[in-house]
Amino acid sequence: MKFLRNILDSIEPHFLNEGKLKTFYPIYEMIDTFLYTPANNTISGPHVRDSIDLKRSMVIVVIALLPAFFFGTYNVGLQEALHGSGITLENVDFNIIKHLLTGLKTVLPIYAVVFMVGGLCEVIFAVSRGHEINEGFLVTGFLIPLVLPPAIPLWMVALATAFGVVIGKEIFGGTGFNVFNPALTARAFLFFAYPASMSGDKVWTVDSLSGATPLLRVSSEKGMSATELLSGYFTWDQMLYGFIPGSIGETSTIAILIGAAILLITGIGSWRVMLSTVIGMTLTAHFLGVIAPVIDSTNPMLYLPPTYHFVMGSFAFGMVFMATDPVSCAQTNIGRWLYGLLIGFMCVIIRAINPAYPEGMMLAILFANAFSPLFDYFVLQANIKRREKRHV
Amino acid sequence: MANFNLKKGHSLKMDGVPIKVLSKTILTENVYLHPKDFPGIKPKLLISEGDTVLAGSPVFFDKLNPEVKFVSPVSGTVSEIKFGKRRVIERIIIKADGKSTNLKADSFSLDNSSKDDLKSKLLESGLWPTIRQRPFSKVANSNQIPRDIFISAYATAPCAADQSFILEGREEEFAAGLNALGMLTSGKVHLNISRDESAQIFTEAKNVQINKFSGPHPAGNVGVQIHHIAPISSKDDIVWYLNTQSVADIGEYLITGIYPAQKIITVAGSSISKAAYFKIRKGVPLDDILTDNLPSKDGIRIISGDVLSGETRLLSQGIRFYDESITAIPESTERELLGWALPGLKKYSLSRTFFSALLPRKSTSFNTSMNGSHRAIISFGRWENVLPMDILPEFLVKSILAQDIEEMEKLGIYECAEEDFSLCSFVCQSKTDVAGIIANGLQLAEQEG
Repeated sequence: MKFLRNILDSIEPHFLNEGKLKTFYPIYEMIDTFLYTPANNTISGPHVRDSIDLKRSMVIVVIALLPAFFFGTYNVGLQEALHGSGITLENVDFNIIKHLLTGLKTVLPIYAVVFMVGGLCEVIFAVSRGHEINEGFLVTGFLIPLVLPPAIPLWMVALATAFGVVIGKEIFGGTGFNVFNPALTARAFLFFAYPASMSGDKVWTVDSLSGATPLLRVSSEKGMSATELLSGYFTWDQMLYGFIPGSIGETSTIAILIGAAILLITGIGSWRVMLSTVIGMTLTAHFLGVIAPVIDSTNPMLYLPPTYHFVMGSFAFGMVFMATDPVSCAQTNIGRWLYGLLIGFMCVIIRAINPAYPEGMMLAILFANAFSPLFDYFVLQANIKRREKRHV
Repeated sequence: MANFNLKKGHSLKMDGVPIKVLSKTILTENVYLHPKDFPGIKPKLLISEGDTVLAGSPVFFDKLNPEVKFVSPVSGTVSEIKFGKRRVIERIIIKADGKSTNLKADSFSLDNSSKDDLKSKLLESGLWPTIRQRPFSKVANSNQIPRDIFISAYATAPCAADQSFILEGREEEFAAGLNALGMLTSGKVHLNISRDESAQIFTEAKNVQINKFSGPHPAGNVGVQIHHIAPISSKDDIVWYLNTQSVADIGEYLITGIYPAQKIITVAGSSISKAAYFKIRKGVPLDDILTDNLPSKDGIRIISGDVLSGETRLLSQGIRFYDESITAIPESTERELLGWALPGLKKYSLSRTFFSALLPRKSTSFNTSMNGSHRAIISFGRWENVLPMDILPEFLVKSILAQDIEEMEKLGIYECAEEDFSLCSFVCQSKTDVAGIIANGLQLAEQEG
């Protein structure tokens, strides 16, 4: 592979100070450091550095997403098969290769569109601002398709990606400066701009076959308990494993939890955020269950136990991959606790109280994103107060 | 006695840890003085090329505080004065005459002397610059009275010298030095030692408050210790600090009247063939110290100090005035193909993102690779994991980048020193120069705060 290095070294001068192509240095830097570890050495102290860099951090997130990606793709194929006549989960053929391939036919085009559109936006902004291309988009680009329904038209994917990257991130100054999670911004854009394509029972499988999600089934009915409503359609186990309709990557809680384990072991995902989100959700769900008879005894969502909240919809996916986004979450440890609690609380509240938006997780996280600077502000003020007190 | 049990931080496990053997004393011909080693002074020469000097006689002084003099550790001839850009004195070389004729003062007894007597004695001795002050880590201003004086005898920096080992046989001098320092402050002299310290020179020290620390680096940094014992509240809240060897030097001078011209340092790092302790004459060039100990001179970085907070030096320079170690590590030249995707069985990281986390090794051979490219600051919480202080590093760094001095002060800039943040730079995945930013912030706060 020496020749590859030689080629890169020979073209490098064109991208440096006096080179004709210096505007495009960020592209050269991206390719060069993608292929080879960067050549830069430390100049002053510390003379040695930890081996981790942003590339590695982001690659770990992508690796953590792979179980959800593969299962989601398989599930897209499986859900399609389930809509054949008389086929149910009891008698369907679970053939992995077959469903994975059918799923890829739907999922790969979405990925292609996301990376083309998003990558182009990234490169344009990096070149025009003269800064390096940040690896953050690798994760954003990997996340966006996983939070979309499989039947989404590709032009919407393109529009949403551009919106997520430009409005969600670049107008704030790029990676590290954005207030909201870009992938969620993209999804929220679709949710509000094209609600008919993002919710309802027509969008979750390709060819517009009917396949209401568990959340939709529960939230659209009244007068029965949630578990009763689900019985005959989905069991808790099925929702845990993920053989259910839903956004591409969010259905299998098991696959997501494997990803969570990778993030927690490597320390890339904040355990504080994940834990506090679960605590917030559990407490709120219990509380609503207790007060439900008083406020609206016919709303089944109020009675939904935390274990169901955990496996339904995008709660797990949002908690593991969206809430832990290090840029848009709170920057202090105490802030991270409050931020997670708020997400868990808001998610259940939106799901239960507002039947128009059965999927509360996306809005809960965006809401908490907006509040995280405030949490940090309080932590900061407490630190300043503590210092002042100490010095009196 | 107070105990401080610090949890955050990390002690680097690196190759080339010095063995506790004191090698032959290095007393080569030339002595190099670098006025740049003293932050915050404006050096003015007292000698010119060709002049003869005695050991202990002044070579230059601080124009801002003319009482503070910097002396030659040997007797001999000034053979070279090298100026850099804008007539900054880069180095002064003194060629030893081999006789080491000392400028001898009378011995000094603390009992019937005043604080001012002691002060003028120390100023005259040339040992004054060994006393530094916080905030700003510069040579102590002799016109001020420090709130407290701090001495760290707990070495946590990579390959740092074991403090009781380098003071062996200097018990009396060390005690005399502590007594003298007690006269200089209105408050206390704090001797900060390891919780597991057993050397009597420290555990039995008199006229000081002993504070016991435990925990990984930077728990041994005096700045971190001050933060926990009695934090600096403002720009005008002055405390002094000095190395243990300097305390013994002060004691020795007061007893003998002769400038102590030697010190013990560690020579360490994976590029060193025999990492050990060396007694050197202050100011001998690194070349003379490392002669037989450096298998190859190419592609090696020589650092005065430790790998975290030290400074790159040439073989033709001396060790930095305040440093007690020299570290040599290889420069990085290799570029790995698809390095971000490799399992990384031998990568050193605190992050557990490499498989090396599963195969812990005793020590690692570090090189100077940045191990990544510079990126925007993204908060994974890594900085605060290695900073055992009640400081919010991300917000402080952002206030410095925004040049918001008022906010910097509120967030505790005066409690900070560059060296306390070098681990933050070490762990940062975006390769942010946290320590450098803190240094800039301190400079800004000193000029305009």
